[in-house]
Amino acid sequence: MNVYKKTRASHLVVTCVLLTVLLAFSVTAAAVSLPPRFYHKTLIGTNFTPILGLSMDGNVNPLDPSYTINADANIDANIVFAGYARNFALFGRSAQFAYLQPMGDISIRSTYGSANPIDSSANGFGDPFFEFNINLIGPGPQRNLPDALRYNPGFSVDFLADLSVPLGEYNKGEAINMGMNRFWGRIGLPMIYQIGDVWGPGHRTSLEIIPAVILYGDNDDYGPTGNLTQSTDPGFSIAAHLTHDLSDNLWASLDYTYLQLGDSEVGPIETDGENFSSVGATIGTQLTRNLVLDLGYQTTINDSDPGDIRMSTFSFSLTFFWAPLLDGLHRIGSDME
Amino acid sequence: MYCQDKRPFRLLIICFFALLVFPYSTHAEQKQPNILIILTDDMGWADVGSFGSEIQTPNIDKLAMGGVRFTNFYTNPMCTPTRATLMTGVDHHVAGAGTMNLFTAPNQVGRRGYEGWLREEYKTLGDVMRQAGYATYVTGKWDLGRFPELIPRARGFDRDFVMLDSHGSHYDMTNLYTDNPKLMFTEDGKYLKKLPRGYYSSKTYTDKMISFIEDGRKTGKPFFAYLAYQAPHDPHHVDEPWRSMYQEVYDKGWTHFHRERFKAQHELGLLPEGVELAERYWFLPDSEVLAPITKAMLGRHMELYAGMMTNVDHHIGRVIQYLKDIGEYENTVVIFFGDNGPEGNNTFEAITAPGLSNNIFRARNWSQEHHINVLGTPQSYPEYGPGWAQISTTPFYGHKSFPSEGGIRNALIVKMPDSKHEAGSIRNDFMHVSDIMLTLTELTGQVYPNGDTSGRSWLGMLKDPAKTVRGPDDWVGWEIMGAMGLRKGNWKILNNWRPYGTREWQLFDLSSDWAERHDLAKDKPNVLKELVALYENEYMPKNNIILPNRALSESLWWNKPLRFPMYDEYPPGLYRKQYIPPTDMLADPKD
Repeated sequence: MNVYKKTRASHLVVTCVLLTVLLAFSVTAAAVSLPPRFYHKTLIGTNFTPILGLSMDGNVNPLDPSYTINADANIDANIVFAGYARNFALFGRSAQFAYLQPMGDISIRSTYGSANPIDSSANGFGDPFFEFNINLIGPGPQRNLPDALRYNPGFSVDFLADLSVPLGEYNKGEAINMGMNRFWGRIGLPMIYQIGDVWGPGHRTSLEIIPAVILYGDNDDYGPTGNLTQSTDPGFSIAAHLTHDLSDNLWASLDYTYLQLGDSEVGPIETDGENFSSVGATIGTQLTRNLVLDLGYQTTINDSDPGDIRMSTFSFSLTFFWAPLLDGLHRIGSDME
Repeated sequence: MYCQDKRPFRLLIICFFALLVFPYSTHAEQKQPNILIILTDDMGWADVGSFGSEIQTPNIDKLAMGGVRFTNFYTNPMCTPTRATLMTGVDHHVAGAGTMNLFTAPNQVGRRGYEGWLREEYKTLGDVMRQAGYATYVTGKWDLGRFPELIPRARGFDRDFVMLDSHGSHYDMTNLYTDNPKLMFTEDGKYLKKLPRGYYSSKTYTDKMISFIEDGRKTGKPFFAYLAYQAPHDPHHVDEPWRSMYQEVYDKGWTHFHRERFKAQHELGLLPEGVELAERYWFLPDSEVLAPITKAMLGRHMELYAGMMTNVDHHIGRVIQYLKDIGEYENTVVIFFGDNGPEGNNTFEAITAPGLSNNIFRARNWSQEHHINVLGTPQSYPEYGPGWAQISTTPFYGHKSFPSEGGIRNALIVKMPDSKHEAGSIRNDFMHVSDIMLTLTELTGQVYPNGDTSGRSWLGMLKDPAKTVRGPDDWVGWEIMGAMGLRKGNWKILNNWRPYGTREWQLFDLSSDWAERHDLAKDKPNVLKELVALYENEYMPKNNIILPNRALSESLWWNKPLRFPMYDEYPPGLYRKQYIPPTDMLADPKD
C-alpha cells in the first residue's frame, strides 16, 4: 500500500465529504418550512454565510408567520435573507446558532371588489430571525475530521428554538410591511431518519420530519389606523422531506409542509385558524469547494377557494462556508485540490 | 464329493470378498468420522483470537479450545497453489498451479505444471473421500479451473456451490477485468447464470453447505465437506452490523496492534522463548505519528477486514451449531486454516492501474470507495494493504506472495473425535498443507494416489500426542514468482525479491527467529550450502520449478523506497509530546 497516496486521498475524501454534507445549510423565508437537510450535522467550528433569494406569489405575506390572508389581493415578494451561522458543541452535543436578516421588497395589489385595484408596497429590512438548535438523540458532535467523516444520522432528534425580534421596518396603517411588529417564535423537534445503512456521497437517503409549535406575541399597532391589537393563538406545523442523493454531488428532495394556524383576534374580530398544505421539491449541489447551491419550489395545494391561503415560492440559496481546519488543509495542499 | 471338494474354495472366495468389503463394512459399523475442512482466504496467522488477535472470533476460538492449535503449519504463498496442494498433496508446480494464472511468466507459458489450474490426472480429496464411501461436498472458492473437466463435479464432489475465480465481489458476479467481467459459479455441476437472491459469499456458502449435509443425511454416509470461504479476501465487503462493529477501534494505528498482538501471543503461549517482533516495513510510518484523520481512514480498512473475520466466524459458528443440532459434531474432524498470508500487495491497484483497460472497468464497477462510510459496500473495493497485513502476520515478516514466514505460515486448528490431545493445547509440529491429503487417505484406509509428495500424514500425531509429524531431516520447499524458500528442521533458507529480501540466499534459525530478523548466512555457511544444494538439486528438479524470466515482484526494488533499518521512535522530533506542568505550578500572567 502506498500509505502516503492513501493519506492524501483521504484528505481529498474528507474535504469532499464535508463539503457535501454542508450542502445541508440553507434557509428559506418560510420559517416553518426550513429546507431539507437543514438539520444534518457537520464539523464543529464551521461557519456559514447563507444568502437566500426568494420569489413569492400569493395572497399572504411570506414574512408574516400568522399568514393573514389578504382576500382579493395578490402579493409579490422578492426577498433576500442573509446571515451567519456557526456549529458548536454544547453540553457534549452538537448545536447550531443562526442569525438571518430578511430584506427586500413586497408589493400588494388589492381589489376589494373595486374596479380600481389599490397598490401598496414595502421595502427595507424585515425582522431579524435567530435560531438555536441542539441535538438530543443521535451522533455526538463532530469535533474532528474522523468524527465528520463517520457521521451517520441514524435516528436523530434535535430541539430547536427560533425567535423573530420586531426590529424590522413597520409602518402603522400600511397594508403590508417588512417587519411584523411583534415577537414570534417556534419550538420544535426536528427528526432525521436515515434510510439505508450507508451514509456517504451518492448514497444518502433520509426522511426528515420537523414538528413545531409556533408562538406569537401581540402587535399593538395593527390595522388600517394602527390602533388595533393583533393576537394569535399558538399554531402547529409539520414539515417533511424525503431526500435522496442522485449522484455524489447532487441531491433532491420531495417536500411537504402542513400548517395549522392558531385562532386570531384583531380588535373585536375573531377568526378561526386556517390550515393549509404545500408541496414542493428541492435540489442541491456543490458549486465550489466552499459554496453550495439549493434550488426549490413549493406551492400550496387545495387552495382554490377565495379564503384559502395561496403561496407559490421559488427559492435559491447560496451558502458559503469555511472552517479553519479545512482551509488549513487546503492551503498546504493536503486536500489535493 | 464334488461339492465337498468345492467347499474350501467357496470359503476362500467368500473370505476374499469379505476382505474386499472389510474396510467399508468396518467403517460403516464404526461410523467413520465426518470431515469438515474450513479454509479462509488471505487470513493471517494472527487474525483469530486464539492466535492473539483482538478480532472477535468466538466460534473459531471455541474450536481451538476444544481442539489443538498448531503454530508451525505452512501453506503455499498464494491461493491457487495452496488449493492445488490441499486437493492433491502434490507440489503446486507439478499439480498445474506453478504460479497464479494471473502472473504466469513468458517462459512458463504453455509449460506443464503452469497451466494455472489443477491438472486432470491428479486425484483430489473429493475423489479419494468419495472412494472411501463419503458424501463429498464443496462450497466456496474453488480456484482450480473453470472448464467442465476441472469443476468440482468432475473432481470428485457430489454437491457443489462454488466460485470458480480467484477473487471478486462478495455480493455479486462482478470481477476485476475488462476481458473477464463476470465471476463464474457452479452449483451441482451447472454453471450459474445468476446468483441466488440475497447472495453474500460467506452466508451463501454456509447455507449451501448446511443444506448439502442436511440433504445427504438420508444416505447414511459420512460426509467430507470442504467449506472454502472467500472471506476475508479483498474486497473487504461485509454487511451491517459487522461493517460498523469495529468503528474507531483501529484509529490506534498498526503500530499499537503490532505490539498488542505480539504481547497477546506471548501470553497465550504461542511463541517460543526469544521470538522477536518482525521489523515494521521500512516504507510505512509508525502509525503513532499519523494524523487522526489518516489513522481513521487507514483504520477503516482494518475495521472492514476485522468485521469480515468476525462475520466469517459467525457463519462458521452456524455450521458448528448445525452439526451439534444433528448430533454429528462430536464425530466430525474439523480442520481450520487460511490458504496463505494476508494480502499486502494492493493487487487490485495493480490490476486496475491507470492506463489499463481494467482501469475503465474499475471506474464503472468499482469506484464506490471515495468515502469512509461507503467502503465495504458493493462496488467498493477496500484492500487493507501492507500496513495492516503486517499486523495480520504478527510476529512474522512478509505477507502473501512471498515465502517469508508471514506469507506461508498460517493458523491451523484441528479438532478430532476422541482426541488424546489435551483440549486447547498448542503444538509446534512442522506441518504443511500437502499433509492433509495423506492424512485423510490414511484415515480412510486408502493408499495415497498421486505419487511423489513431501506431505506427511498427521494421523499418528493426532492419535498419539507423543509422536510428531516430521523428523529433523524432513524438508519442505517453496517457490512463487521467483521467490524461494526451504525449511528443514528449524533451518530455513530464503531468497526473496529486493527490497523485501536481498535477492540472495539468507539463512534463519526458526527455533527462535520467527521474524526472520537475523540472517545467519555468513555465520553458518555450511548449513546454508547444504540447504541451497537441497533446494537446487532436490526440490527444484523434482518439483518442476521453472524460475520465471519475468515476475511482478521484479520492479519492487524501484517502486518502493530504498530499504533502511527501522528503529522505534525514529526520526526524532515526531514523537515529542506536549509537556504539561504540574497543576499547582500553573498561573495566569500578572498584570
